[in-house]
Amino acid sequence: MTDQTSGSLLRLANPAVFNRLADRLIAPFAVLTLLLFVWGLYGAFFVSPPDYQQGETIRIMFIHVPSAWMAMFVYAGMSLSALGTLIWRHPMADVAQKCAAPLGAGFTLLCLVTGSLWGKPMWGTWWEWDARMTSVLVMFLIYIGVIALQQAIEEPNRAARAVAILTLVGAVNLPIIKFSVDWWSTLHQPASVFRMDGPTIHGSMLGPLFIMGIAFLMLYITLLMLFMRAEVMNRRAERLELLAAEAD
Amino acid sequence: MSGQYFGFIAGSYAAAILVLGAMIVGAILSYRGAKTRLARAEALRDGGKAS
Repeated sequence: MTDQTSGSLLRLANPAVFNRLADRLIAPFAVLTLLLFVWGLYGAFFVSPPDYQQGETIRIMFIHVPSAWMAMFVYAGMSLSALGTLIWRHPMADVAQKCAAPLGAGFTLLCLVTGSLWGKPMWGTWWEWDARMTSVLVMFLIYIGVIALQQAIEEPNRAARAVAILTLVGAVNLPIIKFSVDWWSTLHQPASVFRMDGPTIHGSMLGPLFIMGIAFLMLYITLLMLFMRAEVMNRRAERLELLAAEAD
Repeated sequence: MSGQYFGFIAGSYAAAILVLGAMIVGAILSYRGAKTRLARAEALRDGGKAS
């Protein structure tokens, strides 16, 4: 990391700078997210042809795959924030991790539900305890565990450290999810987009899929900024309430 | 073929609307709640200073 990059990151980690930036970015990001969803859904329903094997059920891919990408991306981001909490003890790292967890859980839940709805017509089963599905379910349970732990410990610094440790332990699951389809014989298909030899999906489907992926990413960034902005305000209000209580 | 699988496709998009919608509503409510709480705490502080 260059000095300039780390300097920019440090400035962003200042709550006042973050607040100013978030206030400026939330509205344009929300509009951009909406436009990307309209564009992506148009592509998913009107540009992408039915799959030669799976027929119209391929439309489920445009929700299932981006939510799976986001489920893993959010967890990877939370792991970096956990390092920020444990190594640099920066409060904004804890804020980011705390606010990302429910969003990541939402994306994982959506991935599991849409996977089940896609699996039934294609594989003839709603659920199979194969390595990919089970490891994603484990990630969902870890997300729930992280949220529960945040709520269970009252002292903020202790809660931040405990959550950071649990998050880092859970990060072991990320490579398991990614490579589960290669390491074990699974009902779930192997990777078809991020492969060493290039995607195996036709461009007419890949384009809308990437647009939906960017729409999901933009939605996540917008909601994360909103949640983080709220958390920063809540923490400031809590300090003021404590000061007022001490003064009484 | 599309008719045969309509329920699965519609169910997936309905789930997306529900889950993503809950995330959006949750974020907005959380933001508005925090803003109100901070305004109240600041008013309390300013009131304390004035008295």
